[in-house]
Amino acid sequence: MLLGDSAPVGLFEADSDMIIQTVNPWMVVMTGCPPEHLEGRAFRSLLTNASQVVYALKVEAALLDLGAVEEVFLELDHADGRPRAVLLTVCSTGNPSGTRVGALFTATERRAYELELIATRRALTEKAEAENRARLALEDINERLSETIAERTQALLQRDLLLREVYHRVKNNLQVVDGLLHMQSRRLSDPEAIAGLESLQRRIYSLGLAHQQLMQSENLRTFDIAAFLSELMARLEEGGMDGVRLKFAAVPLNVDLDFAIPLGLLVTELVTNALKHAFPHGSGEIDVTLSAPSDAEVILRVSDDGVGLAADAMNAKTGLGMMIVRGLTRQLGGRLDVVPSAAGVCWEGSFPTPVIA
Amino acid sequence: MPPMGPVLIVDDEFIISETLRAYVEELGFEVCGTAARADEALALALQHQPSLILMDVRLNGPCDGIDASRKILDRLRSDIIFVTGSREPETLLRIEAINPAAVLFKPISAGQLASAIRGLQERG
Repeated sequence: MLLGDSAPVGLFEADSDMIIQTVNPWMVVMTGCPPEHLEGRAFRSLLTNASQVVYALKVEAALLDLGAVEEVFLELDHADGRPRAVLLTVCSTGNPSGTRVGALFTATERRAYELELIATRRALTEKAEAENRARLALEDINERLSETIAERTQALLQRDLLLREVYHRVKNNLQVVDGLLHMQSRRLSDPEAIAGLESLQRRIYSLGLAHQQLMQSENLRTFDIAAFLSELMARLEEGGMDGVRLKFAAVPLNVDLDFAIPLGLLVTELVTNALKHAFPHGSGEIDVTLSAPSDAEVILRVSDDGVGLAADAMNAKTGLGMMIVRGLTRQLGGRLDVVPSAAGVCWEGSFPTPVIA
Repeated sequence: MPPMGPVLIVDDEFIISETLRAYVEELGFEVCGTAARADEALALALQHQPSLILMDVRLNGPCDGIDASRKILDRLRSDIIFVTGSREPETLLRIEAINPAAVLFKPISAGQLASAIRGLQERG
């Protein structure tokens, strides 16, 4: 038996035009065609359509040039309809008529491996491309985000600037009003009228001070009421009486204008009231405290050690000052009463702690 | 209060400078003039050689009160009290560089001005 009859390799002899002359038994296995269907047929016709193109381009050109090809990957169009992957090697027999010998090696495993490699490579490429796209998208988003942040920051700075300018102007205008009142009072001779304008000046000052605090505040909305009241007390003391000392203590409490303005005016009225009535002999002490016994409640106490006044008489007072005090207490949603004390008068007010939205 | 030479008031708001004039006069001092611009302030200062200048930061015209103060202090030895509504850190730094006698923030009261002037006189 010839070796070629049993080898698991398809062998064939072909003429110079690659028309098959003879085949070995394995060629029958590889193509699914009996020998009589193979012999006399162009080798090319055994291939799938796609492989016929590869054959025309690679094999025919190489055979013309070199007379041989090695390990060209092709697919046989098997009779059962499932193509078979093979490697084709052809060389010349040396015969002057130009006959050739061809060998077909099964390449199913190799093809699968190759396909896997190709798929892996494609997947890797796709992954790299996807990553690249994602990176570019991210860069784009980052860039737009940076632009947005820059724009917003600019807008916020602009807003802060405008707000500060507005508070500055409000404060300045209040100083102008204060000045007008002062100039007016200089031209008056009626002590009651002068006192009335001075009361007004104190109230206006309290409003201006609240705006000054706001202008200094970092967020332009809230500030510490303790610092505000402390400055207010200093002003009230200096406009008061030489023999009367003002004491002040407060817990730090962050508030907005809605709380600070009425509370500042309340303190102004109560302290002014004490200065006016409690010390006919010109000496004594007024004590103002602001405490927060719980998260929900703020307690204001304004007490003096002056001559005192019956609670009924206090509550019955009908002046502008008391009207303002009652109205502002209501505005703050709290209550304010005269409470018993060892000496003088003691006002105690309770207000809901302001909620800063 | 001990006597003191004339006081110059520099503020671009008429009502405020008039109020300051009233405060100063009530303390018993003479006001030699009021200016709303830096160049006016310099001219009045050179003319009257005030002991004290009450100076606002924001003024009419291209120069502010800090510029005006610097020019005045190049020529005179007046004390300067800034009376301003500006609290911006950069403005405060510029004010500090002039080494003023005091800085008062609007709204100010007669009492605040009186204490600042008293402090100035006590320091000599």
